[in-house]
Amino acid sequence: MAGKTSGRLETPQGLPPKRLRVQCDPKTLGFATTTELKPARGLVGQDRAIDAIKLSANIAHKDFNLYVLGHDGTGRHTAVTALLKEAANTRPVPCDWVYVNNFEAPHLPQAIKLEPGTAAVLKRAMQQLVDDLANEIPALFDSEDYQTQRRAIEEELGQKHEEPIAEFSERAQAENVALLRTPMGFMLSAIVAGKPIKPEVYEALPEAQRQEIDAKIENLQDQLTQILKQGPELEKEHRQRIEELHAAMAERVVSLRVQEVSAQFTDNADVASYLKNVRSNMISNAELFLMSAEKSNDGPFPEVIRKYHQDPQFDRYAVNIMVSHAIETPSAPIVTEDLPSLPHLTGRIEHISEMGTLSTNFTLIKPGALHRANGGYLILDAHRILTEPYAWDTLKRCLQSRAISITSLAERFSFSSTVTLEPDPIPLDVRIVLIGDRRLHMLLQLLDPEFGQLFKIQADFEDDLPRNASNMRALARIVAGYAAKEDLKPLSAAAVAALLDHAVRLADDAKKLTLELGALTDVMREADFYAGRQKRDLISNADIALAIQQAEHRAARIKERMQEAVARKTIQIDTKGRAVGQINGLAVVGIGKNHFGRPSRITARARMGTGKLIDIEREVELGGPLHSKGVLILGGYLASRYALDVPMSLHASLVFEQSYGGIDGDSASSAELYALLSALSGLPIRQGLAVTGSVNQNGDVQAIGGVNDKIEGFFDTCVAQGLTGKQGVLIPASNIDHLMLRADVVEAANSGSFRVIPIKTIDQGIEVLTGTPAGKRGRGGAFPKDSINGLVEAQLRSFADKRRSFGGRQGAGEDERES
Amino acid sequence: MAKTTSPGLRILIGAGSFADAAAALRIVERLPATYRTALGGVFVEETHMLTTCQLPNRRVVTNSGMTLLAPNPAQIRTVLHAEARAFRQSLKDAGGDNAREDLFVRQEGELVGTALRVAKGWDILVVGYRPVHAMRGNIILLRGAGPLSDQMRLASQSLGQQHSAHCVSFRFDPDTSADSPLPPSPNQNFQSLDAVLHTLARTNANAVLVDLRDGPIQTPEDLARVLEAARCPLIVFGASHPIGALEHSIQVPPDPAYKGRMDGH
Repeated sequence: MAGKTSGRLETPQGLPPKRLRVQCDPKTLGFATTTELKPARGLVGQDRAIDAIKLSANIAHKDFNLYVLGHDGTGRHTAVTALLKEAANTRPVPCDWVYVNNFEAPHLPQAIKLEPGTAAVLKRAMQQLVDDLANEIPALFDSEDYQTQRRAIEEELGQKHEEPIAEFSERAQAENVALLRTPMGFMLSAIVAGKPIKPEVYEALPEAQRQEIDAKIENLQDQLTQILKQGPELEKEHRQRIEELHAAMAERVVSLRVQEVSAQFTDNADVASYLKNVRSNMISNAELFLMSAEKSNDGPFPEVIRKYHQDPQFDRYAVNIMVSHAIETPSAPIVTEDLPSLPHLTGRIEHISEMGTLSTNFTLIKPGALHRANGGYLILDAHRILTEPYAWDTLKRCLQSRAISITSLAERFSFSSTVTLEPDPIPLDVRIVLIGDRRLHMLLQLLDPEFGQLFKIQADFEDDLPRNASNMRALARIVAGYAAKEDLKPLSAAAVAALLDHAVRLADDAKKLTLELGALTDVMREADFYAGRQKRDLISNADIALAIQQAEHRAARIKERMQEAVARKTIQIDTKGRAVGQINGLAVVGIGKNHFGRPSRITARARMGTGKLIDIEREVELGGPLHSKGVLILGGYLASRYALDVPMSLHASLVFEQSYGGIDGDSASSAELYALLSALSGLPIRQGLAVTGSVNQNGDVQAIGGVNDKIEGFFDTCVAQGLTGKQGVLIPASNIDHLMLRADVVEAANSGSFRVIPIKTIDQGIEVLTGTPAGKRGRGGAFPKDSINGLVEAQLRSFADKRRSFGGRQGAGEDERES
Repeated sequence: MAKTTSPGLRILIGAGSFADAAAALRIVERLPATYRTALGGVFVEETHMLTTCQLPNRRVVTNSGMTLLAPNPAQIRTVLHAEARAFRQSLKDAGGDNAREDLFVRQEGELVGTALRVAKGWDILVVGYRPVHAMRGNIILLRGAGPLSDQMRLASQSLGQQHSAHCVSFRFDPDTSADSPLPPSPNQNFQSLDAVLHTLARTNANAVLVDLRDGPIQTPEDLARVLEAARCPLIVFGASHPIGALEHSIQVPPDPAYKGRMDGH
C-alpha cells in the first residue's frame, strides 16, 4: 500500500477521485426537462408503510389503530392523507349526533343518532315548533273559551271557600263574637255593648262568665281553624284543575305541531321517544309560552316573526348538534386535530355566568375532534397529544370503551364546584392515526402496555432507498410532480441530477437516495426563486447548487468561527510536520439539521505505572459512555497485543485538547490508539493527516458516521492553513461506500493535493501515519526491533522491568527496616 | 294667576297591615294608567285589635289554619311598626316619581272610619284586605238605583280586564220587586243592605267598588260591614262626600283641585 523511500514509507495516494463522489449523469435520466415527465406522488420506496396504512384504513376490526413513524420530511402526512382519502371514499357517511334535553334528569343530556345530514333538519324543526307554539298558545289562552272555563273553576272553588267563612262569620256574630284582623291572622273577641270587650271589663266579669266567654271563643277558634285549614287543600285542587285545564287547552295545539315534526323522522325511534317527551313537557309547561308572549318586542320587526326559540326559557327544547355530515360529499370524515388537548379531543361543557354563579345546560356541550371524526379517521401528532395533560389517557379510555365521554380537567381534579353535566356517551367508531418519531414509538411500546393493544399497526417510513436507475427515475418523477403541484418552474435534467446528488449526500451513503423529500423540496423552492430572479423559465443545476450552497452558508456561522479560531491558532491544529503522541482526530458538530466536521487535537502520554489507562474526558465527565467504551477497547487491544509475559506496567493518559464540551462516540478510538502507539514508540505522527474510525480489540478499524462531514471539515482546515499535497484523512475502509464529498474536495484529490486513505487495521494506519512499518511477530514471537510494534513492546517491557526493579528495591528497604 | 289642576285622581290606601296594603296596591296597579296622579296611605292601628291582644290567653288563627299565641302589647307594637314601615316603602315604590313623604299617615282607631276621615279631599279610597285564598274572584259593583258613574264604570272595566274577571253588579233598590235569586249573575237587585251583604259574603270577590255618593252605604259602619262581608279590597269612590257624621280630621294635605273646587275657583 505504501512505497518505501530512505527507510520511511511514503504517504499513500488514497482513493481515486471517482470513488469520493458519485454523480448522476443527466443524460441517463432520459428527459430534457421535468415537463416531459409524468408527475408522481411522493410515495416511492415506502411500500411497507403504505401497506400498513392501507390495512389500518380498511380493516373493520377494532384496535387496528395506526402509528406512523419515520423522520420528518419523508412524506408521512402526505401519504397518510392521500391513502386515508382513498379509503374514506369507500366508507359510508357516518350518522349525525345531537344532544337533546333529558326532561326527567336535565343533568344527563340525551344523545340521539340521526341519519346523515338530518341533524340540522331536526334543529330547525324544533325551533319552528317553539316559534309556532309561542304564537299559538297565548292566543289560545286569550280566548273566551279558556277564560270561561277558568272562571268556572275559580268560581266553584272560590265559592267552596267563601261559603264556610261566611257562615262562620254569621255564627260568630250570632254568638256576640267579633272577628278581628291582625297582621298575623284572625282573632276572636267577645262583644260587649256592641264593641269588642276591653281587658278591664273582662277582668271585672265573674269567673263563671269569663269561663263561658273563653269557652265560646275557644270553640269558635276551633271552627275557624278547621275552616281555614281547608284553604290549602282547596288551593291545591285549584292549581291541579287549572293545570289540567291548561294541559287540555295546550294539548291539542301542541300535539298537532309535534306531530308535524314527528312526521319528518318516522323511522327513528329515539326521535319519536324524544318528541313524545317534548309533547308532555310542553303541555305541562304551557305557561312558558305565555310568559314569553308577555315580553314585548321592542325591535323594529313585527311580533309575528319574533324568534321565540332564542329566548333562554326555550333552551330546553333546543337541539345541540354535535356532528353533522353533508350527504353531498359521501365519504367518511378525515379530521386532523392540530391541538389535541383534552377539551379539543373529547369536547367540553362550557359554563355561563348567571348572577355571579356558573351554570350550564346541554346546549353548552361543545363537540371535540373525536365527535367530528367518528365513523372516519382522526390524525394526531403523537408528540403533541402526549404533552397535553390527560389527553392521551382520555383517548385510550375512549378507544377502550368505544364511546366518547366528556369529562373536564377541572372535574377530574375536583377543582370544579359548580353544576355540571354527564351527557350520554356517544358510541365511537374511529380509526386513530398517530404520526410521530421512532423514539416515541419505542417509548410507548416499552412504557405503555395499552399502546400495543390499541395501536396494533405501525407504518414505518423508510429514510432512504437504493440508488439505482429505477429509483432515480422514480424520484425524478416525484420532483416533477412536486414542481407541478407547487407551481414551480420546470427543472432541467441537469438540475434534477444535481438534486439527486444532493439526495445521496443527505442519505450520507453513496448507494442510497434520501426519502426526506421535505429537504429536497426546500432546495427546489429556493432554486425556483433564484431562477425567477434571473428571469429564467427553467431551474438549472446552477440554481440547485446555489440553493444548496446558500443553505449551507446560512448555517455556517459557527463553522466559520471555529475555522477562524484554528487559523488564528486559538485552537491548535497542526496540518504540517510531525509530532510524537499527537494526532488530528475528527468530530462532527451537530446543531439541528446542520452539522459539520472539525479536527481536534488528541494527545497521549505514557510512563511506567500499574497498567492504568486514563481517559481524561471520562475523568472529568466530559466523555460519554460510547467514548469511554472506545478507550477501554484500545486498552484491551494494548494488553492483549504487547508484552504478554510481563505485567502491564503502563500509565497512560489520553485527552482531546481544547475540548470544552461533551464528547461521545467511539469514532476517535483509532486516533487515540495511534497517538498512544506513537507515545510508546516515540515515533512522530504526520500532522497533515487526520484520522477517524473506531477500533475493536483485534485492531480492526470499523465504520463510523458522518464521514463526509469529517473529511470536508479537515479539508477546510488544511485549505485555510495551506494545502501541502501531503494532507489527507484516514477513514475506515468500510466507509468508502458512504463517500459523497463536495466537488472542491474531489477536485483537490484529483489534483493530488488531498487524499482520502481507506484503512482496515491499526497496523496499516500507524504505518501511514508514522511512515514506519508496523512489524509482525517473527518465528521467535518477537516483533522486528525497528518496527513500531517492536518499539512499543520494548517500551512496555522496559516499564515492566523498571517496575519490577522498583518493587525489589522497595521490598529490600522494607526488609532492612524490619531487621 | 290661573290655577292648573293635573288630570287623574288622587288615591288613598287605607290598611291595618302590610298584607292588606299590598292587596290594595295590587288593585290600584290594575286601575287605568292615567287614573292616578297621587297615591297616599293611611296605616290604621286598630284599637279593638290592640285591646283584644291584652286579654289573657288570646290566640290568632292564621290564614292557613294554624293557631298562634296572640302577641302581647309590646310585640304587637313592634309588629305594627314594621308593618307600617313596609307599607310606607311599598307606597313609595308604587308612587314612583310622584312619591311624597307627606302622603303617608299612621293613626290609631277603627280602620274604615279612620280611613274615611283621612280620605277627605281624596278622590278614591282603597281599603285593603288580605286575600284569604289565591283563587281569582269577580269584580263587584255595589251601586244604588241611580246611573253608574263614569269613574266606576271605567275602573270596573279595567279591573275586569286585568283580572280576566266577571264584573257583577249588586244593585240596591228598595223599590225592586224581589232579591235576585241566582248569584252571581251580571246584575243582581237587592231590597236591603242585609241581603246585599248576605250574598256578598258568599261571593268570591277580587274587589268591591262602592260609590258613597250613590248607593246603599250611608255610614262608616255600613262600609265596615261591606268590608267584612266582602273579605277583599274595597274601592270607595266619593270618599270626600260627607256621610253619616264623619269627623273632619284631615291629616293628609287635601288635593289642591278639591280645595279649589270647594273655594269656588
